[in-house]
Amino acid sequence: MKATIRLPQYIFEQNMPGLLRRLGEANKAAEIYIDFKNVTYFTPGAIVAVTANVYGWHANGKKLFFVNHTRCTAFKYLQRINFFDKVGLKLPEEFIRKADSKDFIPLQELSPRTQDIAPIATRMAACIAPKHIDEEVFKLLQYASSEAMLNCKQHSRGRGFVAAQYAQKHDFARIAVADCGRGILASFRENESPHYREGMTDRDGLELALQPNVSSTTHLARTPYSAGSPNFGVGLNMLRALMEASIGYMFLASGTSWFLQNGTNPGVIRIVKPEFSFQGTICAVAFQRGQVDDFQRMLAEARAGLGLRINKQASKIFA
Amino acid sequence: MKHLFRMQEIFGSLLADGTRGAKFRFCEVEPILSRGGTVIFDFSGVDNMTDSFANACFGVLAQSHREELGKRVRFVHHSSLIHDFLAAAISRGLTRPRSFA
Repeated sequence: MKATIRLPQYIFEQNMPGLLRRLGEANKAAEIYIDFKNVTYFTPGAIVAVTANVYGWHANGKKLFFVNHTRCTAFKYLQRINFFDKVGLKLPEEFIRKADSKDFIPLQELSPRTQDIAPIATRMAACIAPKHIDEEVFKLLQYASSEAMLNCKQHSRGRGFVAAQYAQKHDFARIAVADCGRGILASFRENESPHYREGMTDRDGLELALQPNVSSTTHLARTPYSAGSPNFGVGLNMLRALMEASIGYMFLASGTSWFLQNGTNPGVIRIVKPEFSFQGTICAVAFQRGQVDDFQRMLAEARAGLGLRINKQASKIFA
Repeated sequence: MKHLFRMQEIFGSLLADGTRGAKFRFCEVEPILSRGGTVIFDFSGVDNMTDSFANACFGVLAQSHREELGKRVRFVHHSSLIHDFLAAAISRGLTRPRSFA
């Protein structure tokens, strides 16, 4: 069976579900044609979603064909961020490669074996908001990209892809991580989390992951050689709170469920039919750079919003 | 026996990876504490951290060694930002049931 995916012209956070639906339609096909003809602008979330999907399909033995990829408006950009290289397509380059642009970095790969995510996080932050120009945004991006990558590294059991980009027009610094791993629900189930119940859906898994102090690995033995690291389940909620403080966007997807939040508006969770499910997990966050004036204060407010109170004994240690 | 951990030399200026933080705590820090030693974490040169690293390393340390905090477990030369990460992680650790690493 063949399937053709016609990629849309633009992808922002709001139309990510539409992109995932198009990708999902090809899940059962043995031959997949991906038509880039209309592609003009994709956010990092869209780029890593396509990359992870293509990687997963390839790993599952599907035959993949790219159509019109060298003719689309975004061709040079996709080439510069190594998109084609990451999906296994070696193309001649008609430009001279330089160090990282000031607006984006090449796609980065993650796996459970990645030794340390700090160098990747620092590279992403330095590219989008050089420390000497905007130290507060630099630190926020170091923090946010690290937390997003850790979720992938610790839970997915699959290969992940990371992208970052600054969009001047709307002043959004965007980071995104997507993997073709087991997904959130399977992470709760396979780690035998006490939060897991038979019959739970991807939506339940996503809702659990968005609850403060809940993680699929919080209950595991606290040794470095166990299945998970000592995880307190705060990273995703901190990301969400920081996104709200900067009036940005957050998009998450796993299996048959996705979550979208625009600034401080309530987030929405939706489910899709199983045939349109995303085979892995996506976490994409956009921060409005101009809203980030004091990273430390933003963190303090985010922690307070999640109910954290500094313990008296903890205060005394530093007295 | 005192042991000084210069965190910047071990991890760089960003303490990000909770998996590394957990491994460091288990392999480097716990053995010293279990032998009755004192550990001092020096944050000179450390500019930033994640809550995941702070929780995995210092939150769990607080959870399993609460009586030793400020005595055989000390923190020096930290910026105000790093102080907040440490205080938050330790507070989280202290509110959780005691664990034995």
